[in-house]
Amino acid sequence: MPNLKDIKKRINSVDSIKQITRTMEMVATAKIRKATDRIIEATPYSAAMLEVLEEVTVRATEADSPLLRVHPEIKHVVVICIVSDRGLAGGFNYNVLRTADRYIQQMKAEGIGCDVVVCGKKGLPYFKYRKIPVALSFRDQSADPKFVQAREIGSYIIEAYTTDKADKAVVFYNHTKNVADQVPTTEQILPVDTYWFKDIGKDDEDVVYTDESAKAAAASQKRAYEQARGNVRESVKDDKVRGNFDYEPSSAQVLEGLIPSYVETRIYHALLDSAAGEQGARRKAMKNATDNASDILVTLKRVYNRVRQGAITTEITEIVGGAAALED
Amino acid sequence: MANLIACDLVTPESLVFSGEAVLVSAPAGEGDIGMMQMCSPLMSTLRRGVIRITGEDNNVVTFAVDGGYLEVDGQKVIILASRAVDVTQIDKEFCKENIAKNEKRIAELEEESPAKAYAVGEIAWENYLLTLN
Repeated sequence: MPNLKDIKKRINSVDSIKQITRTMEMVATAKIRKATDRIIEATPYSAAMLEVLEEVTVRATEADSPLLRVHPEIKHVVVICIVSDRGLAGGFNYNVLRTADRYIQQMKAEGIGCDVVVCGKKGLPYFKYRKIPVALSFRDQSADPKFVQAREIGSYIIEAYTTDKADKAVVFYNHTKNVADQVPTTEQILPVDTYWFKDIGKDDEDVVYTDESAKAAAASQKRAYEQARGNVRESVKDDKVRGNFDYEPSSAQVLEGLIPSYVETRIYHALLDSAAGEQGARRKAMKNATDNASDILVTLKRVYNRVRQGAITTEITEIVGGAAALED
Repeated sequence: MANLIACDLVTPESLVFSGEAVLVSAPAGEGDIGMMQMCSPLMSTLRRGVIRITGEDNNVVTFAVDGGYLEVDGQKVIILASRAVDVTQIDKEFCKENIAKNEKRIAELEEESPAKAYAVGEIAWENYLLTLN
């Protein structure tokens, strides 16, 4: 039978854990709002960029940008893995890392080399333990990603792609489906898939996605872009007024500069999406922890009362027994 | 009432300006241009420079931009800037701090790398901001 002091100590300890997890849950709830606001703020740029790209790609061909050209043979892939800097977020990091790891193993089996770019502290020990070298890493920015980070990743992969050091770039991150659900998503960043800006309004049956999650993520992003594009075009009532555009210096040169910006924007969006998902995952994990702590407290308090009652009963029995012995 | 043209200035991080203007002047790739309502459709690259947006009441707002793109179709100007700063709100101390930080970073990086090129670009941008205002 455990003694009362030990149970009391355990109750106090579970109670303080509960207070901490509840606080973390509330902090995460406040941060979700901020993170989703940042996604909303970044959408007009993406929408406007798609608008411009849509116009330019009508006139430019794949030959005008090396980033649109598909390499005939894939020998090397850049894997960008976006996770968080902090834990206590349930399976948030592990799901993405495991998906990326599987992809890397699959590429290795096919004789394809992989360069890993990690955003978020939690990814570094994972790859170090598995002896997978990390080419570029970022830390302490997962909760508040800046565009400069996307620009640095962008310049790294673009340089690798244009100098034939890499033939493909893929990003693994958690897409925020809603505040409660995060979906591990795989997206191809390079070569750039012109589908995004050429056929945004068309049916997407012919588009090949890396997996179902990428398809779902693409659909929800597409909806957001279409909505923002509606706002961008609000003042332009009749598309016929738009006419033929002049290009300065030329359509090919405009496209040449636009595509790298587009790549950076997609990486930035993945970083923002993951940041919002991190807070959502943490809130969910902390809510579960708080609920579990409450359940444990109920059980412990029941045990405590039972032990206390048992001790009282024993004491009374001893007193009564003692008194009866004296009477005899 | 003056003929107005809608203008959006967006950066990857936010919508910096959205409103109507009489005249928008921008540092286009091949020289500075001014855009008014019904101007011919144009798509151009942007250089590093200053965008001036003149409103209906003749007040002018100016933004420093670090390159980008613009699209104008006679009714609306969309400026996609890689970054934009309101010229009246440039913090010179902050610029100097950033220059020092990037110079330190360049000294640490020995080889030619994207990170070094990036730091050099940052210094050039901060130095440009210091020349304004």
